[in-house]
Amino acid sequence: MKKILCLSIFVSVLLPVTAFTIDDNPLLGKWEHSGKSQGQPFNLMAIFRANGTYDGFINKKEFVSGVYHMNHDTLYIADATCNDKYNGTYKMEFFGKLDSLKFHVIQDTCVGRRQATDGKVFKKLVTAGK
Amino acid sequence: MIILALGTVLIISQSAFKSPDSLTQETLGQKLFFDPILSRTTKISCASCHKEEFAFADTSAVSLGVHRRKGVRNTPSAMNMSLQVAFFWDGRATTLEQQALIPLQNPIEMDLPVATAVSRLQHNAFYKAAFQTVFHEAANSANLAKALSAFERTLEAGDSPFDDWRLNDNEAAVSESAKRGFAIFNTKGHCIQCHFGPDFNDVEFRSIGLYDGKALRDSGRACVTKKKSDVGRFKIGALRNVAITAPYMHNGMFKTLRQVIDYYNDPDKIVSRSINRDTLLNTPIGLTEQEKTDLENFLISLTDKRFAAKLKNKGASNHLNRL
Repeated sequence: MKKILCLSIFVSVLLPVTAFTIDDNPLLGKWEHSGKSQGQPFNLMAIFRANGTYDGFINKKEFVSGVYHMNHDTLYIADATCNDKYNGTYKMEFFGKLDSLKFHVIQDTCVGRRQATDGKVFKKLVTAGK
Repeated sequence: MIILALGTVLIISQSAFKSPDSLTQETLGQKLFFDPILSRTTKISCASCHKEEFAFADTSAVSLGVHRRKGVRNTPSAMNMSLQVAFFWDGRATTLEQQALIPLQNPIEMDLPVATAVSRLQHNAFYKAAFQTVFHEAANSANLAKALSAFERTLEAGDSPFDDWRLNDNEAAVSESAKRGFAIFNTKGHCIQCHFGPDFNDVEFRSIGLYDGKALRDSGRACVTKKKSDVGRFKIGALRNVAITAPYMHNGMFKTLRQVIDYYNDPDKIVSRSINRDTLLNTPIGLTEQEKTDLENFLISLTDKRFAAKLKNKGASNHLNRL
């Protein structure tokens, strides 16, 4: 009985940990969105790394750096520009061959981050090596 | 035979650049930017103050215009303007086109009425042809502004060691000191509160305490808005290439990056009775000397690779980046 209990505890701890391994985190990599602002074309890119950090780029210029984690299809994201103690939360919709994604805000008081992501479709570029 | 061929190629390429027929808005704007035809004395061009080798900024606290008339504010870099929404330290221009013609007319800068500038261009054989080629009309104030701003929009710099580190995950691109400096920038230093965005500046106007009504009398944004709340507020400076655009601030009062960092670390030590200073600067940061060096190294890492030689000459990369 004790053995079954220990095994159950072990499995219940192990399963969530392996539920989202590096290998099957679909958010890893470089994602790109192109558009126009004030009549000028722009390119938004996000790099999500296996170590839980991310960077955002406008026209290949870094403009935000922060941390994130995924729980199934929910993204928790924070950065020092908004408040590094506050996580914006987004439902991530992946489609195609997991090479396109769309952000859907669940809750995020950070206006800039919300405007840059909510409802926008990003296409995958390259899988991050880390 | 080879020499003849090379010579021919050289002649053709030279005449291709000089020929109005091959111009675009951007290259016409480049020609105008460097041409003193746009100043009363025909001795000052935009590039006289916006020096290309210093990321299109100047090396003095204020610049000298026609007849060596002294400016009143530090010449900011003309690079990385595409994503900006306000121009000049007080934000009096809201488009690059608007910005482009103001120094032309300023008596202490180029001192040339726009109508006179346009007339000169219309009577200059090269520009007469050039404006026809590019705009299909004679030179006028609108297309003059368009050409200058089109050129300025090409001055984007996003290829620094820092960009290489973050975009390409190249850990060897910057020193460990610069990486620590980036962390300080985002945390203890609170720099990110104002200096965020692709060019490391926000769209707001902020007062960092460089107005006291006595020795420091430039009220900045308030000159434009006439609002008391804007007294002492200035456009937040962009930080790309900041290591080669000394001196710093709207009046060029800080000669080095270290002086800037020392100021932010404890503003009251430098300007004791500032008026309307942002509350973000109320508490001294308490940076150690190593942290200041790390922060400085991070700022140095924002220098575009095309200016690497300029950094070497300043001795910055030889010493600080090794830490």
